[in-house]
Parts: sequence; structure tokens; C-alpha cells
Amino acid sequence: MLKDFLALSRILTGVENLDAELGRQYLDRLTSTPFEPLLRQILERFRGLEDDGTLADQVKRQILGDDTLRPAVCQIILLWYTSAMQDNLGTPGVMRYGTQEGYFSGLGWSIIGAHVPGLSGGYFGHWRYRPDNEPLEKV
Amino acid sequence: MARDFDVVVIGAGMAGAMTAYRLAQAGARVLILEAGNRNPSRAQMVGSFATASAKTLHSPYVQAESDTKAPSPDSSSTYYEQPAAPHTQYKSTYERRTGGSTWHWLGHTPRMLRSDFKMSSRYGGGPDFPPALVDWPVTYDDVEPWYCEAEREMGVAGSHDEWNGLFDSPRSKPFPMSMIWPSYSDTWIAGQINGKSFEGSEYRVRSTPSARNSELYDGRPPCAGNSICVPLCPIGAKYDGAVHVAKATAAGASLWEQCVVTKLDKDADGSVHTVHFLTYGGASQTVTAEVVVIAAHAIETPKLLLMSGLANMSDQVGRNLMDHLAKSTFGIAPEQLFPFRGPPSTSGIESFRDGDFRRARAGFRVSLNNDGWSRRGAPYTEIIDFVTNKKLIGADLQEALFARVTKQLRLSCSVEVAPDPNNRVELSAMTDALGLPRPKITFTPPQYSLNGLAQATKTLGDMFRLIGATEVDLGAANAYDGAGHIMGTCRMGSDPKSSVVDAQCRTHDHPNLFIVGSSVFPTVGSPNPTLTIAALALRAAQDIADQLGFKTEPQI
Amino acid sequence: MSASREIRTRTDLLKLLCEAAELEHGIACSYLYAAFSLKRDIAEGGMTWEEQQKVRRWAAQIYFVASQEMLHLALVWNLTTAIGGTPYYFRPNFPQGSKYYPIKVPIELEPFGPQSLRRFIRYEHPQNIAPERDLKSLLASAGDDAEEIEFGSVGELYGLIESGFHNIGEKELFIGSPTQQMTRDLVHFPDLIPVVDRDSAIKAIEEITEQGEGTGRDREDSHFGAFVAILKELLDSTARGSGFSPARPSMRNPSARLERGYGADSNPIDDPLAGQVAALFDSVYSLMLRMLAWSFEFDSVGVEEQLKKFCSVTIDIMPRVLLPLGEGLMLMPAGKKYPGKTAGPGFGLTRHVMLPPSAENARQLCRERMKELAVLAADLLKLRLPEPVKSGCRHLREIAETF
Repeated sequence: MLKDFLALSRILTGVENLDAELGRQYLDRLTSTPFEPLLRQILERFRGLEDDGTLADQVKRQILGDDTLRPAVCQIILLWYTSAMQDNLGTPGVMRYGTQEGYFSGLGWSIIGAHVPGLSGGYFGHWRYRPDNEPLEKV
Repeated sequence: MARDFDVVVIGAGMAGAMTAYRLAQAGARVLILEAGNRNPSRAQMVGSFATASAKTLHSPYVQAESDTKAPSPDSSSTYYEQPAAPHTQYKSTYERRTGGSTWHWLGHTPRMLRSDFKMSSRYGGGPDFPPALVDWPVTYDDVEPWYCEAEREMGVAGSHDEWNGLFDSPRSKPFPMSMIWPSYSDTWIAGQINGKSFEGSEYRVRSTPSARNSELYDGRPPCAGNSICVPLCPIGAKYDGAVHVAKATAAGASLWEQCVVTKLDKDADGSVHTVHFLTYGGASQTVTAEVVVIAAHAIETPKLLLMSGLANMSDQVGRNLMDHLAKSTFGIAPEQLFPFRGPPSTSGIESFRDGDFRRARAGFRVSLNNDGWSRRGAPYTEIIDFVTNKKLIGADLQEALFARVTKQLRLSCSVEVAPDPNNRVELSAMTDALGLPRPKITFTPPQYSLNGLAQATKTLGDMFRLIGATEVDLGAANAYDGAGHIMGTCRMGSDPKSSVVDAQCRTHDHPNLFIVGSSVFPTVGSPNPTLTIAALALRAAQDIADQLGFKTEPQI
Repeated sequence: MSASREIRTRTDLLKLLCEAAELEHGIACSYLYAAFSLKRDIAEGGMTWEEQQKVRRWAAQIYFVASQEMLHLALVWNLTTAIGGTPYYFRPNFPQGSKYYPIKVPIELEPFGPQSLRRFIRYEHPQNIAPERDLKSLLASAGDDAEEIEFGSVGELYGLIESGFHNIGEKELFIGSPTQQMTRDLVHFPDLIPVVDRDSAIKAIEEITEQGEGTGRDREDSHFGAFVAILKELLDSTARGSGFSPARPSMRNPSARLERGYGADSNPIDDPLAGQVAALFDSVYSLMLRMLAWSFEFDSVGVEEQLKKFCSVTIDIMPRVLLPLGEGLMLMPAGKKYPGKTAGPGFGLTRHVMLPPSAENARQLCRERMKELAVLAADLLKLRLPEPVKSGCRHLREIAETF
């Protein structure tokens, strides 16, 4: 189950190197919430997809595209990007965090050229310049 | 008569700790009584913050027993007795912990301006000028050397060239450290607006002086851009009151925590020597001192005086409660500005703090902020929106986040609140876990300040226009947040009939009872109050030492 | 070099300033190498979240100290041009033998650890003060044999330099033009002092020694104090045998395989791709140095715009190209010859063309060179590389495009 979860997470997050230990923590957290049945459905559907080079598109159409499954997809991405999960999906949802390791491993911050709040961004004065970890071409 | 101590200081926040430190250094026997507990290690507090569901001001500092026995509005949203929302509310809060509220302050240390000390003389008399906007009994020149002292004690980083002489307020010494570098965003914005004007005042972006190390100072590291100054600096680069608590105890002061002061007794001759306090177990104890200093911040201080029936011949104790009206406005910049890096704010605009307009409306400071739309939930809200509504994942999601979140900008203002005797702290009939009255707050922002808020909002709108921002949200007309600047409740003045303390922070009614902290501000101007608090506390410590016959370390 | 020797001629003073420039420069590279080697993410292994907080704080402090060394280099260059000299940006390649300088401590490129910290402490140790017993025992527990510790510090060198500025007549000494002096607007060091006379020269020298070794009262705020505190913390953290490993297993004294001109004692990177990235690092570093030195050397009159451009480009290159390339190299394999080791930047300064005095020609040469390097970066981007290396390459292309 973890292997599939990680493979799916790579597609959802767009990040290749996902930490397996963190993945296990996130999987445990998801399976102990009301999202558990949705997660099971998602992984089942994912296992049924053909790995023919269009896997990402299939995920987009068949999993993300499914209105009932999308909230759980959102939870998965939110976990990897911020280590938080919404309590429910009301607006605003209450955020729940897991471990400190998880919090400080949030991937979303480097995606915006920043750092996890609470962790040093580098060295005195670095905020004077554009980020050294600017991930993508200039927009 | 032999007293237990030469000085008892009530409150181990910055003001109390600085006072205790100087007096202990001078050789006095000093006791600091703190209602709250001390904090665990910085690492533990970072851990609490990291896993906190809501990253509130209190999130690193949650301690069940201290939160219950020495509650504060930080630890309990129902601590104040106030009319329920949506009626105007007092929104600023404070901590009760060793080290005090500076644990979670932003760290900005602008000074008050020359005019701020002389509002009535300069701008008074007109129909729209609040009569309670009085002169201080001290001038900028009286306080200036103490500002330099305070900057040295706290470790302030700033640009002398940018700030010397601002609005006729000179600096006699350079800053202890060179400035905190402006952010990429600040520099870009400055490029767009510097030199342009709005309704007669010129825009000029200046780096904000801050008690935040720009180099190794006082055994603490330089800022490394952890970005969570509010609510906690993980590395101690930002000054907090615990620095002076440590210095005070190292100089010989005693510190008793978990001691909630409940009453001060007055002797027949009007002097105050006896301090009653409760421990968390409920046991009542007493301690005596030659001089008593109350440093319990601007709500607990008047509360204690009211509970004791002291220092109130003027009927001003608890009155003139002030804050700054804070407002955040939001927009999307035309270029990437890369928020979430560096301290939450590194620059501001001072141009609107002073001028003839103060005859009719309040002045204000403008802050440029580096925290994007975090107050609106970014980047969480964007992640959720892009996945759920725009159906993006993977590289598409990353691109969308990178394009959007990096352009989010928050500009804010901090508006002077004029004193109004009807804005006040009183004793509530409701009590806390130790049976002590909670504070009852009455606060309506004066029209003078709402006029200032309206002007500030227009100004921020103009700034967004100049930089070509879109999706600008200036908020509802009279909506404001608390700035965290609780001030005014034991005002300083030369007339005992209309003020609580004199120019030395000594209560008029009791010759050996002093008050340090923001309670003593008769007016507030628009700067963050902490540097002024520190300057006045250091100055008061010298007066107290003189009164007791001790010599403080010669600084001035 | 004995303390009783006094400096009385411009030639001697310039020689010492060149030596100081080499030292500040070399030491800055040594600090940067250690900072690059510190892990960033928990996922790299060997750190709990609390240890990560510590490691990031150490990295921030070492980068800060390195940045102050760069400020010292800038001050030395200002001192140099003030008396008619040319900013000296050369330095021996790594490892630098301990006999080369009187400071008796070799300057090397080495990952963070007790060994490198010991060296750093010795570079910054206050002059004329015997090492205290506490310090000796700290260094001993970090692996130094307490009996053999020698301290000949950088401070001694500056003492001699200062004597030169005192002894030589002010009017005859300060023949440089004040408009050559580099100011803080151009290079973003708020503490940079333009040197125009003896007073400002002494101020500049005092700033250097205060920041490095500190003064009696506040030594804890000096570089020396900072390194002692970090070493103490490191030894405490690793004492409990926790498996805490703060640094990447980077090699020592690497050299980019494709370049000639390195000392015999350096370690050529054995992995071809890492070698390519390391070579790119060296080329960018060399170009940046030349642009910076040119800016310090030439009179700003008439070329203010170009100076501004050169300075802003070099200042952009450091955090956005050199830093990510340097850090990224430490995530790449060093090669089969170095099992278990990762690569690193060699800061190699090899044969190169100095920039000409003509502003237009200097700009032309830089533009062309930068475009060449951008092409190399574009080629690298097609390959599998750690994220920081990719960032560095992207930024290099962007900077080249707008130059």
C-alpha cells in the first residue's frame, strides 16, 4: 500500500524524491480519518491504471477528475506540501499537524522559493535577493 | 524598619526586568515577582509551534497550569470582559510569562517623534482635536539619551543616515548595529514609489529599526530569516525580555515565578511597602520592600491598583486605554516579490506620522510586509483552491503556486489612537481561577483616529495603484485589528489631579510606588511602543536608585 | 614575522595588504565550504528535527562569518587602492600549505566538523593572548594535541599593517583617488568604510580585528567566540553517541577534473558530471572575482553605470549561482576513487585573462564570457542533477541574458 501511495504522491506533488518514512506517517494519518474509505478507493483505482507513459494524465482524469475523490486528493497534496490535513473540508478548515519532522519537511515552501516557517532561510540578508532555490523559470 | 527587599518589581517582562537589572547592578536587593511560569527551552517552544493547529501568538507558550492560574488574553479568548462582537472591541493581547509579551513581538523599535511628546502645544485647540491629547511632562530631548541606552541594552539594528533628524528628532549616537537588510520586495517597491507623493507627503521607504541582531551581539546570533518572529524567534536573534531577566538574576536579583500579586497595602503616611501575592496552590504570602515597582503591562497594572484602591486620586487609573489601529490591506503585485522570507517586515514609510494634519486627524506608520497573504491563509488556501477548483496537480500545480503566491503582498498601517477617558480598564465581577477579578474593557476608537484610519487606507490604496497591483482589498471602512500595543492606563503628567505618575514614573499619591511600562504613556504617536518603554524604564531605574541612595552604572 | 618589526614603506605595506587579501579571501572560501557541507533537510538523514534547527543555525552563523570575511576583503581592497595599489584577488589554490603564511595553520577546504572548527578557531584566535586552559581542553577534546597548539593569528598581520598606516606620512601615502573607493551603496555592506585618510584607514583595520577576534569585553560576539560556541555545542551533541551527523560526506580539497593548474595535493573529482559542475563553479567564481576587483580598482568617474551593473551582477551571482552550485555539488558523488564521498567546489583560480581598463572592453569580455557559461549551464540542465545545481544553472542563464 505504501509503495502505491508513494508512486501516486509523486504524480500528485510533482516531486520525485519523496521520503518513504514520511510517506508512511502520512498514510497512517489518512487511514485514521474519515478519509480512509476515499483513500482506499483512490489507491484501488490507481493500481488499476496502465503504466503506459500516460499515467499522470490518467490520474488527472480518473482520480482528480472524480468529484467525490478530489477532496481526498487535496488532503494528500496538502500533507506533502505543508504536513497539515484539514479536519473537515469546511471553509476555513481547521488544520491538524502530525510530527515536528513532518512540519519541517513540508515541500510546498521551496516551491514558492521560500522555506518552512520556523526554519532558517539561510543566512543574514538572504531575503535581500531573489531566492537561491527558485524552482522554475521566471514567470 | 527592615524590609525584605530594597525593591520589589511586579512583572518579569522587559520593563520590569530592565529596571530590576539596573537596580541589582547598583547594589540594591531586588525581588521580581512574576505571575506566570517560565518558558521551556527554545527548541521545545519551536516544537510546540510546529505542531500547533493554529499558529497563534500563544502557540509556543501553552502551559496548562500557568494559563489557568495566571490567565491572559493570549491564553484565553474570554479573559477580557468586553461587549460581544460585532460591537467595537479591544483587540490587543499580552502574555503572562517570565520574559513577558516581547516573546512574541515583531521587534520593531522606532522612536517617538518630537511632536509626539507635545501634541497639545503643537496641534491643539481646534474643534477636531481631542482635549485628552496632552503634552508629556518630558520632551524628546529629555528622553533621547535614554533611547540610545535602550538601543544599546536591547541591541537595535538600524540606519543612522535614514533616521537621524526625522521630523526634527535627532539621534545623538549611531545604532549599535547596522540595519536589518531590506527585503527584495521592499527594494522593488521603493523603486516604484520613492520620490512620489500622496496629498502632500512624500513616499520614502526606510529600513525599520529593530531589536534584531544584524551581527553577533550580546552573545546572540544574527537574524537568519526563520520568519516566525511572531510568535517566536527560534534562535534568539530577536530581543525578548528573557534577555534582561537573565541579566537581572545574574546581577543578583531574585526571581519568584508563579506568584500572582493580589494587593498592595498603603501605610498611614501614604507609602506602599507591603505586597500580597498568591501562589498557584492558593497560599497567600507577603513580602515587603522600600520601593515597589509595578511592571505588569498596561492592563494588569491598573487592575492591581484598582484591586488595592491605590494611586487613584486623579481617577485616571485604568482610563485612557489606547492601542494603535492596525489595518492590513492586500494586493497582487505585477512582479514576483517572493514573500515568506526574512523577518515579517523589514521596511516602512514614516512620512505620514507627523504634520499639521494632526490638528484634525491621527497620523500613522506604514509597514511593508514580507509575509504575503499568510494572514488570509496562504499558501494553504491556494493549494486547496488550485487542487479542488482548478483541478491542478504535479508540475502544473507547482507552476500555479509559484506564479501566484510569490506576487501576494500585504501593506499595513498603524494609526495613532487618541486618549479618551471613557476607554478604560475596570474590574469585572467575573473572576479567574484564583478568584481574582478579570479585566473589564471598554473601548471605542475616537473619531480623530478613525479619520486617520480612513486617510491611511486611502494612502495604502494609492501605494497599490502606484505599483500596479491588482485584486486590491482595502478592507471595510472602519475595520481594524489590534496592533498588540496596549498603552495609556496610568498616564504620566505633572498635575496630580489629572495623571497617575510624574515625569520619573513615580505615582503622585505614593512616593515609593513606581510604574514602568506602557501604562504611563499619556499619548502614543504612531511608533511601536517598546523602545520608549525601555528608555523610560532605564530612566526610572536611575531615579529609583537615586531615591534609594544607590549608584547605577554610569551610562548617561 | 616578529611583532617588533615595523612597517615604514609603501612597498612593504602593499605587500602585507596583498597577503591580508589572500588570507581573508582564502579563509572566506574555507568557511563557505564548511557551510555548504551542512545538511539542509531532515530527509538527508542523520538529524532529528531538533538537530536540524541546530544545524541550520550553525550554517547561518558560518555564512555570516564568511560574509564578514568578504567585508574584510572589501576593506582591504579599499585600503589598497587608497594608497595607490590595485585590489589583489589572487590566492593559492587549496590546500594551502601551512608554511605559506605566518599563521601556521593550513587553509583547506574541508566539510564541517570538529577538525574544520579547530582550524577556524585558530585562524581567529586573538593575537598576543595565550590560549586559555579552557580553550586548550576544548580543542583537545576535539582532537588537537594540547601541547602542540600554535596560534599565529591574522590579528598579528593587521597589527603590522596598522603600524604602516601610522608610520608613513599621510599626504605621501594616500595617493589613490577618493572616487576609486567602494561604497556601501554599490556592494551592500552597510559597514563598508571608504578609506581616504589615516583616520578612516585605522577605522577600517579596527573594524576587521574587532569582528574577527573581538576586544576584551565582548569576545563572544567575534568570529572567534562564535566558532568556540559552535564547537562546544557540536561536541555536546555528539557526545551522547546519538548518530547525529550534521554534515554531508564531502571530500577535502577537491579540484575540478578538467582544469589544470591545481596543487599536487588537491583531490581531482572523479565523477565526470560532478567534475563538469565543479568546473562551471570555478569559471563563474573567477569571472565574478574579476568583475568585483575591476569595480574596486577603477575610478568611478564616468563609469558609474557600469560599476553599478558589475557590482549588482556579482552580488547576484554569489547567492543565486555560486551558493546553490556549491551546495549542490555536495549532493553529487565524488567518484569511484572516493567511496562514500560527495563532491564539492574547489574554488579553483587558474590561468585567466584579467579585465582591461577600458570600461567598454571589460563589459564586452564579460558579456561574451557569461554567454559561454550560460550555454554550459543550458547543457547541464538537460541532465539529472540535484535541485540546487539546477537552480544555480537557471539563475546563471537568467543573469547572462539580462547582462
